[in-house]
Amino acid sequence: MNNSAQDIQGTWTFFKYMALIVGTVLLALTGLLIYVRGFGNEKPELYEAAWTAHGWLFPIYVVATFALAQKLKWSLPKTVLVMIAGTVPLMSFIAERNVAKEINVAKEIADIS
Amino acid sequence: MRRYLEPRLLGLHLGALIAIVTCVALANWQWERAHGQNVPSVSNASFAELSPLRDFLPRSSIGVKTTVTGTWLPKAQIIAQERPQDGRKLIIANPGEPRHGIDYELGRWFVDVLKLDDGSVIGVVRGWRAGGQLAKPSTGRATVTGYLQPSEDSPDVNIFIKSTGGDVPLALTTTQIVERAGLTAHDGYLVQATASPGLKPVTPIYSSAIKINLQWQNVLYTFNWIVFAVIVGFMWIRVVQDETENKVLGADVAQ
Repeated sequence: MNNSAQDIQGTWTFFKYMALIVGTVLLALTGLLIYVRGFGNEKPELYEAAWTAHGWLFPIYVVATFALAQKLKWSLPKTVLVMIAGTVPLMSFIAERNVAKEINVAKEIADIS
Repeated sequence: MRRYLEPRLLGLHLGALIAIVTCVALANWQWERAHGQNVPSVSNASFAELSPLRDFLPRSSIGVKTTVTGTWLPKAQIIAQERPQDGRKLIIANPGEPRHGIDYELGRWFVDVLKLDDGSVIGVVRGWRAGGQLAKPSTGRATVTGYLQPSEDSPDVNIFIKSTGGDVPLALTTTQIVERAGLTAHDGYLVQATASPGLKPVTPIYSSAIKINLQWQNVLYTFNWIVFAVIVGFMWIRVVQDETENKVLGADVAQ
């Protein structure tokens, strides 16, 4: 693996973990929202905390996405779409999978050259 | 400078500026919410504006002086027991702190119900008196000037009324006024600015909008939006740098 591949590796790992964390928190929030709004239950104590957690994790995810977008020379619309994926339940998992494929291709190219 | 103002970059600049301005506006909004100032304060407004019927008394109307005209409903009188003359003494300064005693003379607030010309009613605290002597309910038509107060069961109200036994409800609520009058009531009640004859004037519990505790949730959201504004600004700078550098490099290659 050459330098540029290692360089991408760190940014990719950061993005991967952020995508998984944001996706998990968002899924939990969706569940809580259905529990409270759909079934008319009392707000559990976790409710506000989960929203605050998402409010802080999402900006970190946005930074991670932007860092990766710079490395992989993504177009601005693509970058923004991947960022928005962090606000749609399950979408960040799908985005993470798609980017993973791209990364594998990028690594192969880097290894060959 | 000119390369930053190329037409293809103008859309990017516009988008970034709109995003930053939106983030800052939302931060400001959350900051106001954190301080419970989401309602603009009004004064000199008419009673109907200050106290909309079939709605809660807006926070901004609390403590505002207003005038209403109507007819007294003598049979609907409510007597609020165990009250100080100065309503402010009922406020709990430190929530959670136990209250052992009271440092004021106990008396009663005499609350008469005024029926307005549109058929709705509002409770009016006419005054305070210590001892066992009751005040006769008011009758006839009257124009009343007083200070608007929230219903004592509304979530913002944080007062303590020491019970000396008995099953008399102590809090003065809109529900109570509706039950007594059998008519639609404006939320909250009025405290007459000058007491009725034979009674002493009551100092309203709240002289202005209730100061609610700082809402940490909203403070966190405020910083959230500021962080977003900074991130957008950072991305903007990076993208513009990339775009302009690529262009220069491209030009070099072309030559």
